[in-house]
Amino acid sequence: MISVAIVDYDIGNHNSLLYTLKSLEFDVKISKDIEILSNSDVLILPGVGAFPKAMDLLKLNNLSNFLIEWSSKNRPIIGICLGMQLLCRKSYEYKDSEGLGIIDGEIVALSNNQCHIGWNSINDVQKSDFLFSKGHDFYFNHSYKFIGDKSFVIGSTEFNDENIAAIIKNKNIIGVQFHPEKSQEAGKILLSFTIKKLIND
Amino acid sequence: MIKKRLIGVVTIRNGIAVQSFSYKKYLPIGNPLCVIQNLDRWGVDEILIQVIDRSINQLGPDFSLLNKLGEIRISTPIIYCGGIRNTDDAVNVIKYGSDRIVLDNLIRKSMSEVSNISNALGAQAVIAALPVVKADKNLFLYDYQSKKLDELESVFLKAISDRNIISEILLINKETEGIKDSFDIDLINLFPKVHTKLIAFGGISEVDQLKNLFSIEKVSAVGIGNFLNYREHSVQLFKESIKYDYLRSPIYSSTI
Repeated sequence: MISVAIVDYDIGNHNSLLYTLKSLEFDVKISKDIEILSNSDVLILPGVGAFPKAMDLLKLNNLSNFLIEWSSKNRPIIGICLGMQLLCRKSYEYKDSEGLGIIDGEIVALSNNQCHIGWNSINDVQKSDFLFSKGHDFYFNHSYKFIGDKSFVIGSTEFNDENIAAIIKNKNIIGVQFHPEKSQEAGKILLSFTIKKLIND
Repeated sequence: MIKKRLIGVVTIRNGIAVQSFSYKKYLPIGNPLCVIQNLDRWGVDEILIQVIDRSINQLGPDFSLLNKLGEIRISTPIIYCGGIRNTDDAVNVIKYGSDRIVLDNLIRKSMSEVSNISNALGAQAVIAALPVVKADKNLFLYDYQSKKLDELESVFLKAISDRNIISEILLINKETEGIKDSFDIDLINLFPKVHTKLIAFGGISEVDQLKNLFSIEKVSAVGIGNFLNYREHSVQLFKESIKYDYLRSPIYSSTI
């Protein structure tokens, strides 16, 4: 059974993810213990929150260096929403904050300080085995977006004529700006597929 | 394209789902978990759970309920309202499985705490509830604790809107809440001009009402309470009837 660890940094919707992953029959743990995290096949960095506070908590829990080291060994991480943004180099949410720097990109406000909330579809940006979302809507809830090297962006979405990276990928690191765990059946299928694909690659 | 949302609203009092009538009378409906499970199964876009006895009785948020939602595998986005006193409560509500929160009492009491919550969770997770009453072409804010009406100060609205500490306003028609086909669309027209989008709620039960409300640019979502409970697959049936391009298609398990 594939073991998945939800990285607990004291903020985020851990419970939603826990039960969704359990329903998909993964061996799931929520932990901030590096030994437990190290023994997992896949790490998930969840996210509902603001970037500076989340980075402070990752550092406070001694998790930021661990995550950087984990990724340097090309071990799989899935970042969800804020979790995806934390994988990047820098964010401008409330103030300038350094991120984990695992994916080279920055997090900037959506135009006119808007919030992108609700269900939206995803467009293919490049051919990838990870694009399994066609025809379905997924639940977004964010007000900042990724900007960076286009080669990382494999799926995008449109909001008020603004193009937003919906799925980014760098080797075995994947970030999704939406919440698959809250996107009903389509989200569950996507999450299950992504985890299995990361393990098999 | 971002879709407008049909939100299923579940009101809970003393642990039981109720139909609330104008914040005065409450008709018991039954086990809230069954109601929430149905909405999830029918593919509603978000579920707003408002536990209306938590703040008045100083009970804090209902973490036990939120935990049960995980156990019954609800995969629809959850908005939670009830008993949130401070940032710790708000963060824990999210941790227990809610995706967003609605603040009512705290908005009036401590804008600085609302700002702290927004700093921790991000503005996208925070919604302000404003139950309003129309009188002589003016809107007044209803305080459910004191049962009094206050001025709906545009300064106050501007503050929460301009400072980007909330993402949406839940505009509740207090007088028509729980009453079929009674939402007064004038509330939207009379509402002060702020850039924050509105969620309309209170007395919405008919397809034509939904069509009218969804056609208004500043309305991002519409909440329906117990009118969704009176027939099987009500969410899909509403969506089939509306056939509105900007609404997510009805979801049936066989379509995935």
